[in-house]
Amino acid sequence: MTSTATQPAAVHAPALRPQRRPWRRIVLHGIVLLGGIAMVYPLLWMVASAFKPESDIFSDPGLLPATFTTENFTQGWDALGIPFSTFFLNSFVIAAISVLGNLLSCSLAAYAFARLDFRFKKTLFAAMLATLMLPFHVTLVPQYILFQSIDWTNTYFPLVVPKFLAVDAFFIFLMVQFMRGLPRTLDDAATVDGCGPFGVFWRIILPLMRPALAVAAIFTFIWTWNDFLGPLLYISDRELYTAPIALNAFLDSTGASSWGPMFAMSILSILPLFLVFLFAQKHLINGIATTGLK
Amino acid sequence: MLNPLNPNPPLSRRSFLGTAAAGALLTTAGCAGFGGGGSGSESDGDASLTVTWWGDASRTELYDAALALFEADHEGVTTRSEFADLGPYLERMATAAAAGNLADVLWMRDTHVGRYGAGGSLLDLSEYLDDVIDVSAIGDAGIASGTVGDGVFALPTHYVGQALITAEDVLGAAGVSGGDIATWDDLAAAAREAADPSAGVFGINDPTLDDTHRHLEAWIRQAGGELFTPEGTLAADPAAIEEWFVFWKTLRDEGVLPPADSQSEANGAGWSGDFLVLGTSAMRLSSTNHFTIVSGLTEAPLGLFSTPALADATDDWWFFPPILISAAANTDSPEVAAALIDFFINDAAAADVTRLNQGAPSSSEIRDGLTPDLEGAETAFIEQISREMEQPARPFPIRPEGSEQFNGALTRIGEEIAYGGATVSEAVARLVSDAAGYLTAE
Repeated sequence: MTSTATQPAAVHAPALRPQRRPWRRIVLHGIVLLGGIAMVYPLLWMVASAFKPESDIFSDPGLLPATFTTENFTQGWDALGIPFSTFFLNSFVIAAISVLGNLLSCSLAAYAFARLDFRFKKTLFAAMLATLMLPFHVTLVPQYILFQSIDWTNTYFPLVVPKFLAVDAFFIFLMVQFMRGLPRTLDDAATVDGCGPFGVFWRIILPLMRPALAVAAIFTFIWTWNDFLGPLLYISDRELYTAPIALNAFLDSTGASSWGPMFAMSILSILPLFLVFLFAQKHLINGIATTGLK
Repeated sequence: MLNPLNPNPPLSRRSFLGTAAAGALLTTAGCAGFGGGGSGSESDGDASLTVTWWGDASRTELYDAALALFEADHEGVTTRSEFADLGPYLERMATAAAAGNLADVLWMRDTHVGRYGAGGSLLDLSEYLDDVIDVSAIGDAGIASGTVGDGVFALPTHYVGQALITAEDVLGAAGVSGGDIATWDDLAAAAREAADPSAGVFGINDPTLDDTHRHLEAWIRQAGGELFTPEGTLAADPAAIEEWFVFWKTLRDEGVLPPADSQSEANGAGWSGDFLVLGTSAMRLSSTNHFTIVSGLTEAPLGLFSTPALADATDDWWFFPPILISAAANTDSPEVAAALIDFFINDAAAADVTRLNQGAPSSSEIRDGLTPDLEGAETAFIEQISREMEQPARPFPIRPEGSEQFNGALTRIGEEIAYGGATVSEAVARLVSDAAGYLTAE
């Protein structure tokens, strides 16, 4: 737009706005609202179904239960002979350790790629990115054989130890991008003051990259909390089940699944994710906006 | 990784503590999941077996109780059970088989025994037959259902059959009775009578959109054919497959079947969303054991009948897909594993616990022993299977490798036809030409 074109608009704008704006706003908000309702409907349906008797779930399509019951919750909580709190705790322990591992190892790896000079850096960076593109299923069997040969099946080690070895290339990439945006003069100043590479990392880089760390922490938590295949393969003791595996125990695709209790427990199991997202939303958006990921 | 300006950076106390704390948390977390893994078996008659099946927590409760009986009978033997729903179960089995770490005793799909048996993952049970595993009550047909090449890699614990389930009140309102349906033409006529599109009532559920296609296999066997050759290639006459899809397409076009999208949606919802359960369909084709599930979900009167036959059907078309049990080739205690297989096939006390949860017990003795205790739907189910088993049945070729893929392809072309994406002849021609690629002779 040229300045001559904008000027008359600017002059007329105060007079026009009060008339045009409400309409556009209402329409736009309406569209967004409809989109939002469409997105949230399955979730609302699940919440409604959790409070319906089993027989009403598929025959009564309304979102307001005709008969309200909390039986699904009480029944689901103890359905496996072990209270569901055990599974939540298990999931939480794995997720918490994974978050710690990923933050520590990925930030260190990212620091090396972003700031240090070493041989084959570019090749290794490319290899790291290549692992990002490798489908999970390709490495599934070799990985299983590896963990089985050191007797780690039916423990949480296969689920958390890799997180301390910087295997989540996505986060490394994200952090490298973020670090590249930090001014190098800060590193130099710290080096002049006597910091070694680790000192620079610990005292300068790490405190500055909080938004990237927040994104990595939140995503790690969500992904580990929701992970199904990993625990399915490695965990066989019922006491060690994570929440998704326990939810699967309500399903019987060759017979009749217990939908009610499953929905009830599903609601409980998405609560932590919901809370994490609710409280960390600011950091998440901040982090994504500053790491160049769009 | 050295900074050229400062080759020997001192490790600060804080950073050291931070790393050490992380390591400590990982190694000493007071959580059960970080103990030693694996479960080896001990010598001197002591054995520890892992047993796995597909299903949900309620099945597991029954089978755990049966395992406890086995442990009580066999001193020194401990068992541990694992379970998952069928899909994840098969995924885990594939990974564990590749790593040679299958559970000692595991339930096996008839669709997978060919692959795992030929692949060397399963224990050949031949040498344990008669000595350890009593096969007198399951007969040669039972042994044949787990025989791959020269080895017996699985034995049936249960059978399921194919059936017609009817909503008697819906049918009755149209003046039809399920008992009068003997042929596919009878079925079509009854469905047309019962369908009332204006009231939202369908004549019969659409079986071509289901995820298994055993009624199609019945249709083919009734016509004198087989789905697969003993060598593992496609045996079915494409014309017979076409006739099957045309039969259902005609009913769909007349509005007797549910529209494709409603049917797909109902299939996704599972049993509680089934049109028969909801009272909006007069009939459905099913596995025989589904009768007990449907009966538990609706108050309406239901009928259970044999699968309709072609007017000129062969009389030995009957077949019963087996629910199989296998032992892993990697087990440390093959003798005990074989004993456990015998226990699940022949033990009356175990059958008293597990009842009909997986189907009709393969052993005729166990079936007869259970019958007096059953009631309602369970009786109808087991009586129908027992009655049908007395019919002549020619051998039922074992599912070859690739049969799962073929099954999936059937569902896919069923959808294409139902949604109008392809004509029957196009879709079947493609099915047959594709199958030539993955159903290959050994």
